[in-house]
Amino acid sequence: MYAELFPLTVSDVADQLGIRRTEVLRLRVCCVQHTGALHITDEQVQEMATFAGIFSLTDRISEASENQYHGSLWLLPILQVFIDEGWVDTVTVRMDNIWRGLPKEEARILQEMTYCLVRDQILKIYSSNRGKQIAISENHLETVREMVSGQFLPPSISEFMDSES
Amino acid sequence: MTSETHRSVTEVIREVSAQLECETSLGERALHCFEDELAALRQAERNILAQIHRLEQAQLHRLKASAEERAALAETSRVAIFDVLSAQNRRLVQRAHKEKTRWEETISTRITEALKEPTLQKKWSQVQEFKNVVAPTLDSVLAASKEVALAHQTSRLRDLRRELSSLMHQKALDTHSMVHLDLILTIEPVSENELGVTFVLPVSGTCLNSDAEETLESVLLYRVMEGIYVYLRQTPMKTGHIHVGAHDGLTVLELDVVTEAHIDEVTSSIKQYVSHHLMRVSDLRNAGVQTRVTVVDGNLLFAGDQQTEANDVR
Repeated sequence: MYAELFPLTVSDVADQLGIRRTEVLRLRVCCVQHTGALHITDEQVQEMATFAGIFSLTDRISEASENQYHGSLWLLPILQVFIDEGWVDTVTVRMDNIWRGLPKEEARILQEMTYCLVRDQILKIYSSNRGKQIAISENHLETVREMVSGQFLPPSISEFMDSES
Repeated sequence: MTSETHRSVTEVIREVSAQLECETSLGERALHCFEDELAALRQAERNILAQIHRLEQAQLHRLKASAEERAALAETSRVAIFDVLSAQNRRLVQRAHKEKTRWEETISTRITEALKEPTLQKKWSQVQEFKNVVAPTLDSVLAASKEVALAHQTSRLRDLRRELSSLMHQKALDTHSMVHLDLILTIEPVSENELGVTFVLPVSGTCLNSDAEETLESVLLYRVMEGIYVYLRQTPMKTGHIHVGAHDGLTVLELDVVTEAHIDEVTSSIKQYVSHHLMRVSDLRNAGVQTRVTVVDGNLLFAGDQQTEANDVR
């Protein structure tokens, strides 16, 4: 009867933030430093989201653009945001923001493409207590610019796209 | 010199020949002795080699048998440990069911009481009205208006939850008998400065599945993970990634710890941090659940080729 008034549970928060339950627990310890009752307040959820820099990159792109993207077509607009925001070298963004909020299949595609670019060392991953972070490798900023302007597509990405089609 | 004059050359040659024959015979006998001695030694060598071979075979057989015995012992101990944990899990599931019913009843009663307060009552009526009357009509309004209306409802619910939050922490103490649970901890070296930490919990392996309800089982799992994260916070690593998997139907947590510290020191610290955290939090205690961290030799828990299933699936 009062389900909506019951306190937020770990799984409620995981759903709300689009992260795993294990990550909610990790953030509770790392950021909120609160390990009391497992009932999480809306304020704590906000605090965790801010600390971990959780947001949806694709939502941000959709809000700013009239274009509709889908699947692998998200990649270049996302890389454009990386350039615009200066997420290069040690200035990073939370990695799962890239695919947060997307349907499962689209999220998988973007995740795989991200890892292709990481293997190519075009993007770089960092571990941090805020969660896994990502940025353009300092010496590959030009490569990413060329990708965004359509002059270059890494073979790993074109191979991946071929395998998906 | 004079006598030589009476001997013929033939006689001298005969004498020399006889002497030579005698010496040859002595030499041959000596050679025979060498051959006999060598033959005896070679035979002895063959005997020793055969003995060595037999011993090596016996040793190999013994080693194989020992390995099999160790594997059998590991399997026996693993089965025994998992049997105990599975039985504990069944008791925990029963307790979780009781606890959930009790918690929902208690909180519903408290909310009903609290909502008698006029301000809260008004807010709750507005939430209900929105849900029953306004929400069904939202598909016909502009997307922007719908968004505003939904945001307003979310905000009202947040306010209500905030005002009621103080009620949620005061859980009545449990009167059930205690459920005692073992949390199995094993730590093994992975490389020079890396230790593999494994916890096997009396918690169902499916408890973190997306469709699984959040119960006392998940609370136990959450609390153990929190304890590990609290431990990590005071290490140079600061944090880490805990892999959650399943083995024989139970939840297994795995974590690699990079450390300069001795394995015994790390074992003792993790045990202490997790135990302390579980003792400190009230939800398990109030539900009548008591835990103890038991350190077990990794060889008694998993044979070398055994791995957790569906590692890190959530």
